Amino acid sequence: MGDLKFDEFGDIWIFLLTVPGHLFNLVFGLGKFLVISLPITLYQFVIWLGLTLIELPVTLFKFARVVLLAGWGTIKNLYLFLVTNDWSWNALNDFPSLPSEFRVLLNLGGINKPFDYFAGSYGFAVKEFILPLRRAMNDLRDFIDFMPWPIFFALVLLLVFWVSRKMGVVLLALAALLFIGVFGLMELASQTFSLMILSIILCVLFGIPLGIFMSASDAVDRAVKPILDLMQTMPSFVYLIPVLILFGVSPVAGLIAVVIYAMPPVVRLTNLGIRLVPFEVVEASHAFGATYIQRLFGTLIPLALPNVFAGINQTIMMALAMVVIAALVGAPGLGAEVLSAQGTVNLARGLQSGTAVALIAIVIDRSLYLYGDRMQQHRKVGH
Amino acid sequence: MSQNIKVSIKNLYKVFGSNPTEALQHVYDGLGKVELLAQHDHVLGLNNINIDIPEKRVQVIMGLSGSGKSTLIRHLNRLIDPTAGEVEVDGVDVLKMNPSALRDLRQKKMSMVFQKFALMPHRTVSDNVAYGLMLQGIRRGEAKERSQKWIDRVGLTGFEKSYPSQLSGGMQQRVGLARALATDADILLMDEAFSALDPLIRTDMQDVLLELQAELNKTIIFITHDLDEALRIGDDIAILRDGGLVQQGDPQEIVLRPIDEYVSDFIMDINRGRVLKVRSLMNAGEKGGKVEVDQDMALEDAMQKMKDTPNEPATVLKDGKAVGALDMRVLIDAIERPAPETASGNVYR
Ligand SMILES: Nc1ncnc2c1ncn2[C@@H]1O[C@H](COP(=O)(O)OP(=O)(O)O)[C@@H](O)[C@H]1O
Ligand SMILES: [Mg+2]
Repeated sequence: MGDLKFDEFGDIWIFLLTVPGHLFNLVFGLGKFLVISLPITLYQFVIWLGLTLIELPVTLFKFARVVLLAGWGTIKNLYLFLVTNDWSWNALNDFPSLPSEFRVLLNLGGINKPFDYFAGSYGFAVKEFILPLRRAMNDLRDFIDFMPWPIFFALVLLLVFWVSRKMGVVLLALAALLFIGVFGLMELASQTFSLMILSIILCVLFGIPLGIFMSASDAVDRAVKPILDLMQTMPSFVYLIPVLILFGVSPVAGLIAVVIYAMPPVVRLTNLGIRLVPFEVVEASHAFGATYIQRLFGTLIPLALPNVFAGINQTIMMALAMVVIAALVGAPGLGAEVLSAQGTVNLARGLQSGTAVALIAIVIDRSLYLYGDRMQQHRKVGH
Repeated sequence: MSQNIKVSIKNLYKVFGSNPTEALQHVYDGLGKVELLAQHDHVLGLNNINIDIPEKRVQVIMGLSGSGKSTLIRHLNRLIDPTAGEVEVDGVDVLKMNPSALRDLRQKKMSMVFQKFALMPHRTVSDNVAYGLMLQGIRRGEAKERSQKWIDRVGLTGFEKSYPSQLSGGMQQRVGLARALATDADILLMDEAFSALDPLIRTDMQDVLLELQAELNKTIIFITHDLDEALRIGDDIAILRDGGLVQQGDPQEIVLRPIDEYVSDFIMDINRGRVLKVRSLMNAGEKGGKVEVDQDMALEDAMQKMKDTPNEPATVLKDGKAVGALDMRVLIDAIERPAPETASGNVYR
């Protein structure tokens, strides 16, 4: 810091002057994404579907041809296996898999080409879709980056104290911040923070309504659960591929990868939390003539809140875990640093940024755990 | 005493299971609860219930656990839909109500007190009591103001800001009662409202209810499995068994003339001398001797008065005028427990 000169004070004033602008950009970017981009993109998707539907017979024909060919390949293969087999044990070493020419056909014609077609003809809408997100993300990053570090430290520590109400966790947070600062990772961390904050906002904004929807209908519950399972069990590298094709290598692609990976817990636990609200209490709200909306906001959500918070907590943890993997598709920050350290076999740099990620995770986890614990106080039912 | 009918239940059936309508046919064909469960894997919840409940009185519904009491009371505000039958409230068929009319009924005409209290654990006492009013769209301030009266009335003044988990069971049920009263509904549904409370607290709550009822004159449908409670509170008692109505009538009538073993098992342990009244046993119109007893006097009190002249019937008074005579032998017969042969079966316990 050195001796403070007058114009350094001036810098602080300039920073303070930019605060409203940054906040406006963040809210505006997110808002525009939700209110304008998302609906427009969905609308364009519907139109695209409609246009594609006109070509549907041709597409179906192509698809059927591929499937038939693949089926034919299997039969032919089986036939070859049965006829040309020398019937020794050796023949049982390898499963008679689809001949490679058929496999190429199936992969290319059945999956890759259709998706490329989708990306190619629908991509224009996707570009629109991500612009406001990129704006929000960049602005949040600039905002954190531009903030004088004492203010940033104070804000983080105050937030941690407000959430956890434990000095121990605040000290841990201070240690994490010092670690990040000392090893010169502040700029990278601010990118990670902006990625985390935005992805969590998006997870909550989409996850909680989806969870509520699932809790209200058993059919939706049955339909969505397998998708959530898939989202969590499918190796994340697999869905990085379509994300990559659609969004290119970019911070927003990273953001979307994180959102897909981290959303399931908050959806699941919102659904579960609402379903676990004691039956008598729900019945009482029926008996006094509550509408669904009154029941939802007056009874179900307040009583599900501890579970919803547990879900948000898990979502945050998963988002952090995904930060490194998402760097593969362009997510900036500490994750990207870990990745490049791995690429250059630089153990020291890898350890430093990896430890920074771990410290952030521990602080968030402890804080939210304590917050959830405090919330439980009056929420016990019965006697 | 001719009274307006407030709630009328007609030919009400409820079958639980995957295909209730089909299973109901078997009930029409004469299958009972046990057979229906064994042969068709459906539970017969209610079997042809007919009850007319007059306004401003306390109708008690009794029966052992699983006899269908909760199922029946939940048909009145349609927390459960019947398989067949009708439920009329003030002459309007509840089953034909659309969702908004039904909400209106639940918000303004009928309120409910639950066995497990069913309070909102995240709301304070005063917010719980104001709950029904706030559902009606009344501003929070006004709702709280109006509910304060009921908080005071049930004796919870000073606990407005407590949470239910900080209160004892008896106090929690006072909150439940205040919540039900706060909407000014004229029908009160009480499903074993006091069963979860300790005996002393239960008696307290019965007193609170009787006091309130003397002043408010609501139509109360009160469910219990405790006959002492039924006799204390009820103007009329209906007894359910396996979903069917076994006997209904004046409490005195049920104690004096139980229709079957199930009912006599119920009344076996009560203090008959305290429950039965002179009017139920007198010979109306006959002339008695010097000793005078009021017609609403309990038998044990009458016996006290008559014990010096056991051979002379006492004169029964109503509002100070002689209306009949009471014989000591009749009195002793009535106080005596029913003979063991009739009450020993115990098959239902
Ligand atoms: N949702 C339900 N599904 C199946 N059977 C039920 C259901 N609710 C109640 N029953 C059955 O109906 C009968 C009456 O139950 P209930 O009205 O709760 O009895 P009570 O309140 O008198 O103890 C019982 O045999 C019970 O098992
Ligand atoms: Mg019950």
